[in-house]
Amino acid sequence: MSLVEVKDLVYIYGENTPFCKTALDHVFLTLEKGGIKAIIGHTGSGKSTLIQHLNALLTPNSGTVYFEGQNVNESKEVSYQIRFRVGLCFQYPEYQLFENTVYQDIAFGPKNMGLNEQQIDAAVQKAASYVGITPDLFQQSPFDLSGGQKRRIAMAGVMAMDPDLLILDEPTAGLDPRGRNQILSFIRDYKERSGKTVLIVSHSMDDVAECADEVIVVNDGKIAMQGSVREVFSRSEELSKMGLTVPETTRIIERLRAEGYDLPAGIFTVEQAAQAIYHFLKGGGAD
Amino acid sequence: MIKDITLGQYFPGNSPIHRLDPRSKLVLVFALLIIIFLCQNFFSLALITVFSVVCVLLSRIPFKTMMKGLKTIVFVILLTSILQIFYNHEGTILWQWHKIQITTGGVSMAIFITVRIICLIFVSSLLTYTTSPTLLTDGIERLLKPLKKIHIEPHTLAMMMTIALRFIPTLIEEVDHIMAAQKARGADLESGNLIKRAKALIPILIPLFVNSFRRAYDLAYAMECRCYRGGDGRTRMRIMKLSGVDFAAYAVCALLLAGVIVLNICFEAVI
Ligand SMILES: Nc1ncnc2c1ncn2[C@@H]1O[C@H](COP(=O)(O)OP(=O)(O)O)[C@@H](O)[C@H]1O
Ligand SMILES: [Mg+2]
Repeated sequence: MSLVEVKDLVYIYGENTPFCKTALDHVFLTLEKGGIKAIIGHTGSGKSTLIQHLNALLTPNSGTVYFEGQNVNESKEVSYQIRFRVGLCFQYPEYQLFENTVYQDIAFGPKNMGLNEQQIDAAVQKAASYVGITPDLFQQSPFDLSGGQKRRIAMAGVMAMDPDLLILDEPTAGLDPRGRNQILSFIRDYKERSGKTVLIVSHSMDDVAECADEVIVVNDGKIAMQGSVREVFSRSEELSKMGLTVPETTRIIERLRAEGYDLPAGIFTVEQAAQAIYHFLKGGGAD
Repeated sequence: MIKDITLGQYFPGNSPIHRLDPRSKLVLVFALLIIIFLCQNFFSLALITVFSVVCVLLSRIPFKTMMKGLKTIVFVILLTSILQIFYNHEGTILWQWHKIQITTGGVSMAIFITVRIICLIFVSSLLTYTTSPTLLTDGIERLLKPLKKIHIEPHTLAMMMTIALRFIPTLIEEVDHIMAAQKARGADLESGNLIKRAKALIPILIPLFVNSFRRAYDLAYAMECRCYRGGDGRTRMRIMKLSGVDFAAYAVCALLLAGVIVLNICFEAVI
């Protein structure tokens, strides 16, 4: 059984008003268990709308969303319970913190799940460790911390529910390169340690190249492509028509290849590029 | 759901009503509200009703939109009408069941009050439908100028109002967003008793306040960076000047007032 199955999903904002907008237009999508998956698409393509259907925050105008075979909109109770299994962390989650202390804020989700004190404590400790929040910060007010720390606390708040699928909407938006690298490495780390499936939403191809195994391209409310990073990035012309560009590294290597340098195709990250160029300079040519 | 609130919605246009000076509009609407309350019988009320409808037609605001404004107060209208019908025992009895009776006096009072409320809503919503919030606050600022003598700054008040109006849609969007985020963590906003529901609002209200303060600071810095120092010595892009339309409107309203007074004197009062 697939982890997520979306069948013929249509969603219209402001239906029956002059401002109505079809955000999702007959979307079909299947996600298997495991790994890090990425949804990419330019701003306004419908990424955020799509993921809010996966945990039943939005109800489709038509179509069905299944999580592990269960229709997430079957009843109010199912829709409520599904939110603990599909953890959704919104864009700029740091603006949604509200508790007196870091600890209490992370504990909000587990508390709503009805866990007891001990279980809550274990969940908070574990979630905090995923994102590098040390226990000495637990009793501080989340509002006194730095922007990067706040975002990690908000992410921990969702991880603490121990969801089977963790969805992060634009987790690196508005961060400096260092903060971005840190968040991406925490996400990879989380996947390794928890073994859960992660779905990140991004419009940055570089982010996707760096951590995803599978890529889903959304364009104008439809799924345009789905496949491995290598498959999707090799269709760079189609991507650029959708307002997406392959990572800078890939473009540089492609340019070099066009100039006649004997470098391998399918390079997406700086590390891969460095390796390839090193080999080339040593005289090894393409391997 | 929360987005359905229509507050001071502005319909751009170029009708005579749109072209009125905002100060005139404010003064005239205030005057009209008083005139509506002066009506004492169906004849003067009819005059005012015709006038209100003509104004709406002149403004070219669709009637459907005006009706939408009424929807929010349908409850008030119904309640007052029902109270009038059952508690007013004047005139001849139309219908009786034990102690409950409906009389001609009750019915005519109910109609009178309903029509009056509708006129009030039409006239006052025309103001916000035909005047952009900026012009409106500008107009208020100019009208309140005399307050400067008692050390109240009309410019500050007007600026506060402009900012508040500007941020209402932003805040509504923000509330939607925060609600979704807390629901994603299992916040239950819909069930439980009153106390539980009030408590469930805390995760929404605290981020909303914190973010509003942050926004306020940002805005204040941005304004200071552009050398904003309050109203003293500021000039305006749009200089308000009364024109022919304004004088015509004042004249029409004066005639209307005279008409209402005459009709009140000539015919018997029902209220
Ligand atoms: N609350 C909303 N009301 C009306 N339209 C919306 C709303 N949220 C998003 N949209 C519209 O739906 C489309 C998809 O938006 P979204 O899913 O947020 O895109 P993305 O996350 O890919 O940037 C956009 O055109 C956007 O304008
Ligand atoms: Mg988005």
